[in-house]
Amino acid sequence: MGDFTMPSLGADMERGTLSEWLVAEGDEVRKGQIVAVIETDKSDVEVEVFESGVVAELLVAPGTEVEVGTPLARIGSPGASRAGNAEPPADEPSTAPEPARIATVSGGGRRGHATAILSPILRQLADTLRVDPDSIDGTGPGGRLTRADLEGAAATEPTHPPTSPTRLRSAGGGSSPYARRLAAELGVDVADVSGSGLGGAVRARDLPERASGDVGAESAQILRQRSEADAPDEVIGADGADEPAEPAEPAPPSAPKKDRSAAMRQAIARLMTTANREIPHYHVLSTLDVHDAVAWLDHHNASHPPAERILPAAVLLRATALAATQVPELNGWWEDDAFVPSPTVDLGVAVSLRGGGVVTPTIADAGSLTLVETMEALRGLVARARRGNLRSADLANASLTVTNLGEQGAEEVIGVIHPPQVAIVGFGRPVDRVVALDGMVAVRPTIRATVSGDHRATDGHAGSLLLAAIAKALDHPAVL
Amino acid sequence: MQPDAARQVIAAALAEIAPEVDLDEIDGTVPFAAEADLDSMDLLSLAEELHARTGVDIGDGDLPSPWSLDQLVAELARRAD
Repeated sequence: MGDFTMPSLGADMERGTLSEWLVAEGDEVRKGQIVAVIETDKSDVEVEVFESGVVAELLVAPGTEVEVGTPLARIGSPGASRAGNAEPPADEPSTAPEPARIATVSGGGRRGHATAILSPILRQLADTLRVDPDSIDGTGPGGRLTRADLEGAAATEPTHPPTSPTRLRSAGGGSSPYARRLAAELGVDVADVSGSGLGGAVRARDLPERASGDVGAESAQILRQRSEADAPDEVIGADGADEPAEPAEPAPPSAPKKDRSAAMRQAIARLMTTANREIPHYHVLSTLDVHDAVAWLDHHNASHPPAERILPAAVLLRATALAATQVPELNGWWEDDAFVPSPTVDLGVAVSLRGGGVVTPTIADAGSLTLVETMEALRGLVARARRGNLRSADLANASLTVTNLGEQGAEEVIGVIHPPQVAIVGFGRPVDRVVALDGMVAVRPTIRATVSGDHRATDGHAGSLLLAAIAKALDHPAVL
Repeated sequence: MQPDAARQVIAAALAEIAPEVDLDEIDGTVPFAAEADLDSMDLLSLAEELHARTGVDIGDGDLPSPWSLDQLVAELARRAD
C-alpha cells in the first residue's frame, strides 16, 4: 500500500512529465512491472512500480509535469478494490483528457464505434501489438475495445492488417529517429507521411523540404519516439504557414511538447555549470598499450558468432569497474562536504544517440559482472537508449561515469564530472602509436585514458592509481 | 548470390539498425562506418543481422579495415549462395 511517486531519474532531475499510463485503475501490478512512461528533459523513460498491488487511483493525467516525489498513483493491497472495479469508470483520468485519436485518423467507413474512446493505455498497447484497433470488434461496455480484444486480435493476426497507407502509424515499420526529429522540428506528424523506406518506414527524405538551416549540424538532440506519436496533427502548407490538418481534433490537454533539444541543452548546461562552479577538477592522463587486450578480443571474436562477440568498449568498462573496486575513493558521491563511498560500482555509460545527443544510463553493480555479462548489459543499454525506451533502473544514480569516444572519435577526451560523483574516466579512439618497448621501437595499438577527479575528495594520486589499475587489467584480458 | 541481391539483404539488415540510412545515397567506395555514421555497436548489430539472414558470418578479418559498402556487398555476394 502506498503512493507511486515521480521518480528521480538522474541526479539533475527536478521535474518530469507523465506522458503515458500503461496501466488502468483496477489493474493488478507486480513489483518491477513497467506502469508508466515519464518524459524528462533528456529522454522518455519506462518506469517500474516498486511494490505489488492494485492500482487504486491514477492521480495525475498524461501530459502533466510535476516535481520529483509527487504522488502519481495510489497502489492498494492486492484484491482490495478489484471486485468493485470490474469495469473501468467512465471518467477515468487517463481516458478523459484524450479524445478518440485513432478513430479519427483512420479515415472512416469501418467500425469506428468500437474505438470511439480509446485510452492512451490501449492505444499504446495497440501500437505495441501492431494491431489496428479499427479492425477489431469491441466487447467492452458500449462496444469499447478492451485489453483482451487487442491481445486476442494480436494473437490471431500475426501480421499487421492492411491500414490506410497514408495514415499508417509508425510503430511497426518505423520511422527513423532522425526522420522523427526532423518531423518534430518541421511540425509534421510522421503518421501523415508516406514512407519510402522498408515496410513503409518514414525516412528523412520523405519529409517536406526543410525550412532552412543544417539540422545535422545542430547540437545535441534526442529521440522523441513516443512524444511524436502523441503530437497534434499538423502539416506545413506549401507557403510554409502552419495549417491545422484536422481542426476537428482537439489538442491534447497539456501544452505542446516543448522542444526537447533545447530542454536537453538546458539540463546539460545546468549540470555542467554546477560541476564547473563547485568541483575543483584535476586531470591525469595515460597512454595505455592495448595490444594484449586487442589480441585477446580478436581471438575470442574470430571463434564466436556475431551474437557472442565482445566490443572493445565492454573490455574498457570491465577494466574500469575492476579498477574502481581497487580505488574506492573515486567510486561514490560528494554529499554535504564529505565523500560517501558507494558499496557497488554502478557505472554510468555515456551513449551517443543516432542523429545526435547523449544519454548516460547506468550499468548497476558492474564490479560483479563478468566480461560477457558486461557486454550483454552494454548491448541492452545502447539498444534501449537508441530506441528511446530506457527504464528507470537504467537511470539509477551512477557512482562513476565512463565516456568512451569509440572507433570514430577523437584521440582523447577529458570529461566533466557529473555531480555528485567525484570522478569520470575518458577513453579516446584506439590509435596505433610508435612506442618504446623493451628498449626497442615498436608500433602498438594504444588508447589515451584520462581521469578527471574532484579535488575536494581526492588528488591526482588517486587518479593515477585508477589509471594504473585499468592498465593492469587490460594487460591481463583473460582474467577480465 | 548476385550483388544486387546482396545489396538488398544489407539494406534490409540496416533498416533494423539505422532506418534513416539510405544505401542509394551512400558512396560505395569510401569507409562505410564513417559514411553512414555507424559506431562499433551498430556494425556488430549489422554483422548479426547479416548472419541471421544469410548464414554468412562476416568477421573483422574478412574485410579490409576500414571497409566500404562496395567491399561488403562483394564479400556477401561471394560467400552467400
